[in-house]
Amino acid sequence: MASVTPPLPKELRAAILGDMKPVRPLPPPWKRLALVAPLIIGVLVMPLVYNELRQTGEMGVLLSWIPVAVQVFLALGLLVIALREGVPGWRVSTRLIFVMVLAAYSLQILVNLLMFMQAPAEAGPGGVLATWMSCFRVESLIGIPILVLVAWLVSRALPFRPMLAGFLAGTGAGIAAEASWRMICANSEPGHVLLGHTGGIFILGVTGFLLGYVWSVYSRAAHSD
Amino acid sequence: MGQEATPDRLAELMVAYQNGDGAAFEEIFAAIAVPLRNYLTSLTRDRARGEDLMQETFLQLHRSRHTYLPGRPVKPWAFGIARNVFLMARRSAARRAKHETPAFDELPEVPIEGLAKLFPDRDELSKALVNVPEDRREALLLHHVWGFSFREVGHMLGISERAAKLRSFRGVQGLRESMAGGGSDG
Repeated sequence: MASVTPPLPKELRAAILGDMKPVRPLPPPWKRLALVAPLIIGVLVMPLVYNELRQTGEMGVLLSWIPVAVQVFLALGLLVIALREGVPGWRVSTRLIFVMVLAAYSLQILVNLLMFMQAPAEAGPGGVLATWMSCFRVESLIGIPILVLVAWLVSRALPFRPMLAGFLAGTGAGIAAEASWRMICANSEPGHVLLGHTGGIFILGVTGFLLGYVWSVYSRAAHSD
Repeated sequence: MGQEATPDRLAELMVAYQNGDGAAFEEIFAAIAVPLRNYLTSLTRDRARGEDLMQETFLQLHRSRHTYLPGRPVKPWAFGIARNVFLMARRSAARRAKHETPAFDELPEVPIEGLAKLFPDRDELSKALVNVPEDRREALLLHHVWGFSFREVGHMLGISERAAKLRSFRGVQGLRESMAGGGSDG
């Protein structure tokens, strides 16, 4: 096979060399995440400041703050993977992504179950329905700023799987939000946890997925012009 | 393959290109145009289409030059963009003509120097490549022809290093079986 370098086609040369303004390279994903860390911390800490923390005495650190730290760590991992989706040729394997998401969901459910076994709590005033709706709403609201920010950062790069990147950003935001909100919500009854807490994570993941879809449609339309 | 440039040199050129150096772009083009064109040709099985997509890849690469992270290898980044350009083009083509069939009678136009060490009969090799499933062929070519490590292949295809190794290994196995059987669709 001939291996002579083809000449740079005239049109290509004109299009590229006619637009040679310097660009600022993206910082690596972990650095971009560090840039938004203050906001993430703020969003996570604010509910803890404005609400009364649940009693954690009988659960000990092992069932309270340590799982929170692990969950936040997993959430940051998911957000970094979402950001890496925007760097061509540097994807994370689908299997690892699956394992991370599964681990994040499993940990969240397991910790809540253990908390329920250790310190069962009753539904607040208004019954189970009112409490899960309120947790679902609050948790989603806490996660949205993180999701929007990370989705914006991903969209500034070149995500080849924008729906997956959005889903990861949403799930990461949801996991982090749940970690914070769990230390306030005194109800670990399994039905409440699955609907209000796990449901909140899931809906943020779906929202991220949809954001990715909208972005892909928009970007396809922009490039076909 | 084009003009040889070491990975370090390419990384330096890429940084200069990001800073607005047109000569650096031309040097990058000279170094990676041929491998990119051959890669795209192996994906499309059509030399003219491969050429078109190579140009489209350079346009996309230019628009997205800020996504190159200084210090990282340039080729996996550029091949990642090329792969996406190919997938987008294939998706658009599928939307335009749902029942379009690939030209299986054409042999893939790929440089087979890397594989020739494993399989000395070049003609047989070219024919047999057509019979290897697409995902395995891609991993096989990326590793054995374009010299990417399995880790880099994994990052490009969104699979683990182990899966990349397995796909490539199965591709080589498929090639052997195909050549031993002497069977080819082409």
